[in-house]
Amino acid sequence: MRKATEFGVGLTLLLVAGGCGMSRYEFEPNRVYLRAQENITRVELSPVQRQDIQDILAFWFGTPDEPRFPALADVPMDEILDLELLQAAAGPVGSEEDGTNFGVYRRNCAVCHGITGDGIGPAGAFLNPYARDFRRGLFKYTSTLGPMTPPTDQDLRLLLERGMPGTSMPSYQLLADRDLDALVQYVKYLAIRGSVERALIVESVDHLRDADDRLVDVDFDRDSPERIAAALAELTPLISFLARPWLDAPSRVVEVPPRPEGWDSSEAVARGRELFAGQVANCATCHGDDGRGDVDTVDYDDWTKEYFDPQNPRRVHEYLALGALKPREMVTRNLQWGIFRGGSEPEDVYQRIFHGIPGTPMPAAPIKDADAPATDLRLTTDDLWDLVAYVLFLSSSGDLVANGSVASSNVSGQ
Amino acid sequence: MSRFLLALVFGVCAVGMGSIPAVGQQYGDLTATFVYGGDPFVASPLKITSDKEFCDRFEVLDETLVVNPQNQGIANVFVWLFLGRGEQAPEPHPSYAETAEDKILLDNLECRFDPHALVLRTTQTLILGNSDAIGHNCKIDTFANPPINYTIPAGGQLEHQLKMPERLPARVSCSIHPWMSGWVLVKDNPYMAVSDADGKLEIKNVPVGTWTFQVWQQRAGYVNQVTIDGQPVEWVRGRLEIEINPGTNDVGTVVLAPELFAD
Ligand code: HEC
Ligand code: HEC
Repeated sequence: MRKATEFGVGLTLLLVAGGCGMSRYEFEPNRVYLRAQENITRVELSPVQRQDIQDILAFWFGTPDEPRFPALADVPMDEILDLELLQAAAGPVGSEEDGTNFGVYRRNCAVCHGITGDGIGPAGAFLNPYARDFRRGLFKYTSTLGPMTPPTDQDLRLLLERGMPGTSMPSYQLLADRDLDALVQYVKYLAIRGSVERALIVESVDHLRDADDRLVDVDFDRDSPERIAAALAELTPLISFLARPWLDAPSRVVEVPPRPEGWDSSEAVARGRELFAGQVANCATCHGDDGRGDVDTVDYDDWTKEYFDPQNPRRVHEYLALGALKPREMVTRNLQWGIFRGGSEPEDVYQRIFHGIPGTPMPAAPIKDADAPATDLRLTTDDLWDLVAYVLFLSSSGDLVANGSVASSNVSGQ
Repeated sequence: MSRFLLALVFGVCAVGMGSIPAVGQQYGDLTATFVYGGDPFVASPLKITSDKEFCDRFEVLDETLVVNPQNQGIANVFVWLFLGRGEQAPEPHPSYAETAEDKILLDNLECRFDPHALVLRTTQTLILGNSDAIGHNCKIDTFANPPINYTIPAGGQLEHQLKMPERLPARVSCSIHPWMSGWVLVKDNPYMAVSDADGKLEIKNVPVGTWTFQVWQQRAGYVNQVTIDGQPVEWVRGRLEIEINPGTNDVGTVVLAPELFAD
């Protein structure tokens, strides 16, 4: 039996802030992305065309209380998402007598990430950095190759256990195993749903002939589910395209090579320092030679740049009116603090340098193949380990110098 | 089913590459000249915020709108073959086979991207170059292809392939030098072009028949209101329908009013 329990402050806040929807818990349309696409193309969708997008999404993905996902011919969606766990994460907060919890997303996450996963929960506007908008399907701290390769379940699980030190994203180490698994599922669900919405927006803006044309010719209120499903069949390749990478993610994990002998020796640190400041790795351009990140650059993350053009700042007002958060400058990390949002193990830092941080200015380091000629300017994996040594040295150099393990430290700011 | 979906489903990378077009197929060239309808337009210099010692020696200008002071020609206007729902790209003319696997250079030169705008086929390879004496990086925000953000050492070069067609030109930026911007349009057919410094462009060897082309400029979005031979013309969603006959098919001198570029 499922009994609703009090949710407290978070819920009350949500009810107050969620004033736009008809019912209390509805997914919010992605108005900001729609407007951005309308502005890029100078096309305006009609109210019917906008509503179609929401109706299609609801048909495929259900509601915040009753999540679901469509079965596809070419991608086994039930290998990507587990319906039972999704249902446990969704809906109102509650628990069964045996202690099984429901509504774990609403209880733990929605206050920051929002019901829709747009990062605009009741507390959202006050955070710095802002809570992640999951709807792009873009994540920063993954073990998988390349941006847009989604994280593995394991990546998300570790992230929830660890939290993101230096941000408001808490650690959920104390939650039950099953709750953590349910949350992982729900983040994936919101990400897939959100990216499908974006694709539907693009599809509408790009391909509809005129204001009377529609993505599908159905009556969502009257037509039978079978008829609607049949009509929507021609659009399901969009879901396949966006969901398949989640299925493939485990096969795209990049193995970190083992730490080389003496990887944290003073020689390695010295080499790393040189690379850090050099033209190839180019870290110092953003982080400064001593890693303090006080270099004078102004930039924004990709989530922000979607509606904010730094060269043309005034235009942002129309997006703020649609609920977008006020742009916050991207802060280049001060590496002397030794706070790593993606994990502080040397292997974690290696991955950050190898992959870059997707969605932010931090680029992937240029790596050469093992058999590349010596004239190839790019870095070897050993070079990367030297950089790891230097980055970790930066935050702990005080101790290292005291221990005498690094003789010739002249890092400023110590 | 739309072109976009088709591309996704079948991963159409090289439509009909190398195949033989129907016997007797005729072709014509499309030409157009884009000019600015307002007072002479002077681009403003961009603010150099990093690597000043190196970059300040160049005059780096805002390239969101580039107008030729001699003839008012607008550079960097993209035109591509538009395919509606269910439409297939035509067999490319055999002359395109020669360039199908070309390497196309996008250079970091004098603290800007050179060229500012380029077209790339899914069969071609993009070379990300860096002719400057400082490090750059190259971030391409694609939609259908995985976006990238690579560091390119001074004097270095990197090859990259974009295997999926994109709906619109994708923005290129450099995270180290946030004022830098460029555009790459990726399609799986060769029928696309970017206007040159005189505002002129040419798309050669289009199969005869009626086709729709789409016209886009980074600041104007889809170019939807223009004047040709003194007559106002509306191109809904930047779409221009034209009958291609053998020989040259000139759209004419297309005048774009300053309002199109208003913020
Ligand atoms: C107090 C606010 C807050 C709460 C509560 C919160 N988060 Fe976050 N979360 C954040 C912030 C802030 C970030 C982004 C930090 C950054 O970008 O550096 C974030 C980022 C994330 C990311 C992105 C990680 C990546 O690799 O990019 C995920 C996934 C995530 N949160 C999941 C959750 C889940 C699941 C919950 C509930 C169990 C939750 N968060 C609760 C603030 C919060
Ligand atoms: C274009 C600017 C830029 C360059 C070049 C750059 N970074 Fe970063 N780096 C950033 C930004 C911005 C962040 C913060 C990202 C965030 O908070 O989401 C960051 C974050 C980091 C972090 C923190 C990771 C974590 O888990 O929190 C490390 C470590 C790091 N950079 C190392 C490097 C190294 C080593 C190099 C050179 C190989 C480098 N960076 C090059 C901009 C840059």
